[in-house]
Amino acid sequence: MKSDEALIAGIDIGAATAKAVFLRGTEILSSCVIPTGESVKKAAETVMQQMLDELRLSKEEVAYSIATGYGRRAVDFADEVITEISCHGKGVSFLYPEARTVIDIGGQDSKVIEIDVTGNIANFVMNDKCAAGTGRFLEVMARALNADIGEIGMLSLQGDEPCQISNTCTVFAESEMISLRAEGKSRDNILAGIHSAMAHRIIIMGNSVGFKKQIVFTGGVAKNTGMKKALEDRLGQEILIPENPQIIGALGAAILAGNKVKR
Amino acid sequence: MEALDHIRSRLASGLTGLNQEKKKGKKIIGYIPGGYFPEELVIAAGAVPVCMIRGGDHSAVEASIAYVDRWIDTFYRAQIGSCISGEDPYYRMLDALFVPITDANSRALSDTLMYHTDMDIFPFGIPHTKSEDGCRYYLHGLTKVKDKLEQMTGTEITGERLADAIAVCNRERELLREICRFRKSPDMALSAQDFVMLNHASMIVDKAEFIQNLEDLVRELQEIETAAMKGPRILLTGSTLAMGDYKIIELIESCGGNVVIEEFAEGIIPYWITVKTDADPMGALADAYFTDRVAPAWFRPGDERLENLIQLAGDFSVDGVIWYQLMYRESYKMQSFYFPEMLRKETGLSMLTLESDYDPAETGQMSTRIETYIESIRR
Amino acid sequence: MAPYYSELLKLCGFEEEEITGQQHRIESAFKKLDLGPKDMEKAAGRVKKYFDIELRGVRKILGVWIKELIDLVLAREEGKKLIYYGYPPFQYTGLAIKAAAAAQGEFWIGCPEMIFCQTFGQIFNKLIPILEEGEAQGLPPGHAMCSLLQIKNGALSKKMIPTPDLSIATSYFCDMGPKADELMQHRYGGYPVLYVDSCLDSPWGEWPDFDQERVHYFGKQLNGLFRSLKDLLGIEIDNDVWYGARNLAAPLFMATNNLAMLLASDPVPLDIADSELVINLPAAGMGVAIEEGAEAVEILVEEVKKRVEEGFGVVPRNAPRVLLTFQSLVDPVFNRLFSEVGLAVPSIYVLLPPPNKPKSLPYPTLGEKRAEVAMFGGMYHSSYGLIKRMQECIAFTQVDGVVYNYHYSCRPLTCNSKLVKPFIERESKLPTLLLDMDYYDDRNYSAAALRTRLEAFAEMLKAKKATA
Repeated sequence: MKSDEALIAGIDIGAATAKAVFLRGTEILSSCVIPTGESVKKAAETVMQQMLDELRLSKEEVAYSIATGYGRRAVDFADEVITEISCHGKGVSFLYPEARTVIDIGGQDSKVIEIDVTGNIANFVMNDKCAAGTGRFLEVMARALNADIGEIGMLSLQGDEPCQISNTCTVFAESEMISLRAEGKSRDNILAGIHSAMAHRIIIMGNSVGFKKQIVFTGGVAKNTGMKKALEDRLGQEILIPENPQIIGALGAAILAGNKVKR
Repeated sequence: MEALDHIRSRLASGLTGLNQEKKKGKKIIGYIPGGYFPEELVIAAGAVPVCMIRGGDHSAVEASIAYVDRWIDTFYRAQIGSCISGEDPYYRMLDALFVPITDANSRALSDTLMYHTDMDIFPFGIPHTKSEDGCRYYLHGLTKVKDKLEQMTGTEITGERLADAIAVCNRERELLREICRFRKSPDMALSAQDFVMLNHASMIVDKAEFIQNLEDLVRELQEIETAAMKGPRILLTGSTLAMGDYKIIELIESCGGNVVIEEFAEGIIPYWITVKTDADPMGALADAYFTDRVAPAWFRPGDERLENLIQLAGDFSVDGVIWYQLMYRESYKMQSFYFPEMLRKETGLSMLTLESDYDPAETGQMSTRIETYIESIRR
Repeated sequence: MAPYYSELLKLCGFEEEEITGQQHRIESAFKKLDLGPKDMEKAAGRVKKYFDIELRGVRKILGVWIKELIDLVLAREEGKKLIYYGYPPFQYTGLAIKAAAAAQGEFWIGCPEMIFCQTFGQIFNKLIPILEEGEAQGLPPGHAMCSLLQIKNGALSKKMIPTPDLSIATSYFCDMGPKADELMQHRYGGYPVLYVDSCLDSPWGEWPDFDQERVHYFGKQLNGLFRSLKDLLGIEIDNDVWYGARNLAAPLFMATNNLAMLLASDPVPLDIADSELVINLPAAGMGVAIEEGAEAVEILVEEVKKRVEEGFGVVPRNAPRVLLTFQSLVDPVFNRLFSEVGLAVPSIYVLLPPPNKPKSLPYPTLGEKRAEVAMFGGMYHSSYGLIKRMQECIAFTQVDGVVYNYHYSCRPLTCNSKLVKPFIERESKLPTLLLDMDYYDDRNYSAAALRTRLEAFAEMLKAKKATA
């Protein structure tokens, strides 16, 4: 098999979702996203099998696979494990060669990553113990406002007078939001305030790394158009969002797997 | 009372007053509160002292997140946030900021501002133990402050100029003591909000006029007809009572309590001291501000403060004690653990402990706890 | 049948005759500490899993800690007087006291919470009940109270350690330590507490210069300590005693220095989980830690020397090298992360010897001489001094990156933690990873979350090295 036709796989096992990307050379064959569920091991096997079934391939044909994400070390069959920080960097760089900053907001953590022209990490910062800069924050707020997590971004864009959310703690922000609701503030405006507050936290965290353009936004929260706008407003810069922002980690893992096969 | 209204309006236009002084070419000298920076030195140099005592606003604390860890006292984080944001009008007008280095919170402030801003920051150390050597070191710090002020203003701080400034500040403290003593009465002489306002005003407004107003106030207090105070008498104590952090007293009063005396390291000036005038003025300043003054909780040992609280509770015939401190000021937190038992043993009084991070979300819970406490001591 | 503690003690370097000869003391101490067969079994598993016990030196050092623990717990009933000092200690003070106290009878001198970290933490993983007790007795959770002080408070409250005859507080470095000592004095019988004070008021940018008055003040505080020791306990410390004490500690310090030099080899021959056991020996106790500790470290040095000669490393040759601020003093899981992710740690900031002292004023008193030395170490000078010393260490050890893992509830470290990363990245041009953790309480961080950060940092450094 010629190296540029090698079949390579990247698997990203997050706390909420498991993703896989298969490449042949530099061509993306397919990708998929499934809920992780209770067993990271099982999720890894399932997502891998799903891809193999879809592409009508067998496990043996996979030349190299790399696992990343929260559950990466439970993926027995992977040839190697690499952190999601490195994988996001590579994945973004593959899709956007001009990218120099990655903002990744997942369910459990958030990161700002500076990458160089090759997609290698130059600097990075991750959220501290606090949940306020993560997808969790939005989940808690959505639930408290009886809104669907998938629609809160759009609703926030409709807010014409965003509320000022002063609390930096998820727990206290929730009660602050409930008070605002009681005061008669609209859901859209509250959500606009929530998105703005979260963008503010992300930017404070990321300032120690810097936001050089092009800036690319990845992770589950990148699908939230309200968060994109909140970040752009505060940064005064355009932010790019991949078509499928959730699979970037798995894509990067696959690219790194490909590098291994080339050598 | 007219005098109070006058002071209040001067305080409200404090910024204008300072701007006017600045336009006249005077140096505006900021300092961090705690009672260890003698304003006398600034006055003797012909400059204008301003205590950076404003707080209570959560947005200032938020503005500090990028620069300092959250495990630093709320008030100090608020100062860092206000200063670095570049938007605070008081910080913007300062020619220098003097920082008495007391505990890690003031260190955080001094280092963070020196690293991130071009401000002229001048730290000097306050020993944590009362001793002759400690006083000597403190005096050494005051001497450095004096040299710096002379350099900045081009004015020599002569013995005479310093003695004059000491006389002014002594008079101010004397008047505040006199006013405070009115509150020992079972009648409602002066509300806590007003007395705290006087303290804050002393840190910002022009002293000559302020002293005149205080003298007027004393006369008014002597003359007004007072009514018996309703509701329990409270000693309010803690680490910092900032200008703008009014909710604690407002809540106590709305629950029917009356704060009749306050004891705070920051926000209440050490008006119980008198600087001796029959001795070398620099030495006298050191003696008064370091040795005579009741030490705050971060001193080691810190019992003097607790003994003083018990004394104040008796002198002002209080019915209860409310301890109000800011988050992460650990020396206060620890004292609040063993003081209630001391207090109960010596006086039979109980104590309510409250904390704040200047967070508006705290109000509801705080109100409930104060209400419950006031009810309990009312019975 | 072998006693229930036999397997663990053998794993920790106890000789058979030490176990049988000290049986009564060992059992008495373990009973007081509520350490039973289950604890021994768990500890044996833990020690085997996380420490390099194929090295006799490591086993011996583990044993030294257990011996100090036993001596501490039984000190009062064995007729000794006890002097506790705080952490970080002032170098040589404890030793000087020990040397001078020899004539006054038997003393146990040391830092009890440090001993608990190394035994209840590293070996037994049974600190939580002690931490919880410390929290309940005046140092509550949610207020960033230093867990090391919670350990001391909890151990005293639970009467696992005797109340001392004298407590010396680190009033020269941190605020919480001395206030916690005062709290404990109030609660546990009113024993005397001596505060050795200083002011860390140096402006940013001043180090290595300092105001001479600081030395005078700090020095006089130390002199005051010496005077009080004489008044309270009849212990006399003068120049001769001090330098004699230094000689007492010389074998241990020499062995530790030799180890530090070997650790700088490539590949790094010893895991930091193991070197951590060595670092705090001088801080902890002035008995076994100094005497047998020196021997144990010497054994370890020989074993590590052999590894270096054989080219054996705990991480591969050419692995990225990082300067680390401080290991966890209780959690080998955290400490092991570094080698697991492929980071070589040739140096811990606190392990490097202080720089050569330049010429200075001839201070007349012992206290002032010692205070002056403290200024050069950086840590007792100011935050700027601490960071500048780190820079010196970086240059000396030629590392590829810096991991500034700070104890979140340590105000002296946290008050300027957000300045460290930009400062080092700009001035030393080295990637710096900031890790917010707790040195003495693994409940306050997630090792898995920290691992991801360390691993990403390692990947970043490896990629940099590959392209360089």
